[in-house]
Amino acid sequence: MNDTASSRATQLVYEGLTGVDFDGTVRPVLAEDWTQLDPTTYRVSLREGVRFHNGEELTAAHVAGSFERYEGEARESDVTDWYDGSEIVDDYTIDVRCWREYGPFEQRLFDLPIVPMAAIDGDLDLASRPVGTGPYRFDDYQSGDHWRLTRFADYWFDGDETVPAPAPIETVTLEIITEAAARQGALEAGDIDFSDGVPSASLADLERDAAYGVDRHVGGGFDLVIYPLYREPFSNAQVRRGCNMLIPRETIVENVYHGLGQPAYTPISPLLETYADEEFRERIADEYVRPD
Amino acid sequence: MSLGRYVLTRLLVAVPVLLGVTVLTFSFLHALPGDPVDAIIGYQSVSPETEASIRAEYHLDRPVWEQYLLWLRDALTLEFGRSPVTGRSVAATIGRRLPATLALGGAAWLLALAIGIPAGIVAAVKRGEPADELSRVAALAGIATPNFWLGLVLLLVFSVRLGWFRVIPPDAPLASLAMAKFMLLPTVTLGTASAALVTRLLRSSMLRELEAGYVRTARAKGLRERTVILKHVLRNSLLPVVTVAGLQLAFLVDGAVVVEQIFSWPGMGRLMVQSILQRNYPVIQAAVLVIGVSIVLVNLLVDIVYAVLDPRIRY
Repeated sequence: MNDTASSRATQLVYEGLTGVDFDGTVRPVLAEDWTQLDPTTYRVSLREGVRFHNGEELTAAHVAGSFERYEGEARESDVTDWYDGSEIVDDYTIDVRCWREYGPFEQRLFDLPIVPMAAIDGDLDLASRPVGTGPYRFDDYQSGDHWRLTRFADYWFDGDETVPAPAPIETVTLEIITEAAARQGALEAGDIDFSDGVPSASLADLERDAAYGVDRHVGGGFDLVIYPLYREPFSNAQVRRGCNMLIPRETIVENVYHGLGQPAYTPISPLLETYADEEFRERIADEYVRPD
Repeated sequence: MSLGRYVLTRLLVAVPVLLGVTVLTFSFLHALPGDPVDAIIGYQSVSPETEASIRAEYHLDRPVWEQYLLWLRDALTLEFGRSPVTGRSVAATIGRRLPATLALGGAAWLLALAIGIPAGIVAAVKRGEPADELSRVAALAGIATPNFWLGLVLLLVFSVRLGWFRVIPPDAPLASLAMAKFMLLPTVTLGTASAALVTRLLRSSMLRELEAGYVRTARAKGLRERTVILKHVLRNSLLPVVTVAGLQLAFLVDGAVVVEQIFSWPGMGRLMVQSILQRNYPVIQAAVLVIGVSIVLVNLLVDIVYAVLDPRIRY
């Protein structure tokens, strides 16, 4: 499934071994702990007593099966890029082998859902009935209309200071609204409680209105121009540099994105602080935005 | 020829028409830039074996004509396969979406006739009077208003500001009071242009008939004006309206693409747009076939109505 509403819904249904929090820090989810045994092998200890929505209890076999089910499937590169194999040490311990040293191992585990045996064996079709270990279980899906999820009573998480448990909302309905103006309308009319895609031109109005809370996050997305280097005159760096200087970045941010966003000179997002230090910025500015 | 035989002949003629439609969609789809396998694997890299097996699963490894024949074989048994994007059955998805579009298109069509016929009659009978002028201005406005604009304005005024309607469909079955209420705005949005067209057409058709000799005869023999208009003139004026009304139903399916987007209506229009963007060949093919069949059936119905309206037409 690769449409927005479906991925939002399945994020609540499935869980991976790790999670990534709002600061980008990797946190344990279904894995309680992990250690790197050698450059390419990780030993992962699983959380005990985790139940799937269909009643199965999470074991190391689920993890191995969840990774191996990708082979030959359209999404195999999620796994084949790094995964070599795994050995089940005991029910709650598994050694995962990479075929090369793989830096983003912990982050990678975040969006690889661990699925029940019924799905690994092929008895359960996850496309029509997603089953995972997440806080919400699948209830209903109507094509082009909505996803409905209900709180999973046997969810393993006990809560902490920032996230309450059990989840305070019993039923979550994700309405599929393709038109941005209708999303805002539905929000204003009270048909929905939350929307993450109102027209950017309306954000200032919503922010002024005390009835709405607006939360902004820096996204990593950017617009870019790709030059056909193989073709004249773009094979000439001077020409590319000249074109680059003609791009009215400030105007685009102001008029196209209504001030939401920042001019970018490289595809490296300011989220990646290390690459966004002062010296780096100056050099980039020196290279690209010289007015001469 | 009896009506039964006529219907049968028409259905047989529909077969090559539908084949033509599917061949055209198939060729156009395959002429589009972009490899559907790339869309299926999400523009990632997969091993050559996996790519080959995906290609084989959707018959994309065969020549286009062979892909078409394989598709046709399955389509004849209503086996449309699975959507490579969602993994769900295409037939089940269309089975959910089609009733929604038919309900909206049908309601808009009825609204167009319910407004267009009385307005057309009044405009013709009161030719040159304020009622006629009003209907002409209204019809012009109706035709000239783009439905995406009308839809958004209706939504903003009646749903968001006044709160009379929901902005998105209620969680209720299609055949329910809550849903009927919600459908009012999309129906008006979709039906306005057609209502305007029917008004204009009926008006000019009736004006022509009113000049005819049989109208003078009817009046001369002392029939009430009401009878002259409704029984004689209207009936004779309806033929062009029926032709256009039949075509309008097809047009309403097209219009649904825009209106469904605005009113979050889970119909075929949105499904088509999404599927085209996703290069979702199985869904597009099946949807085009289903819409083609509906339009052929509606046109057949129109031809049968001709015979009912005009006894001179015999098949």
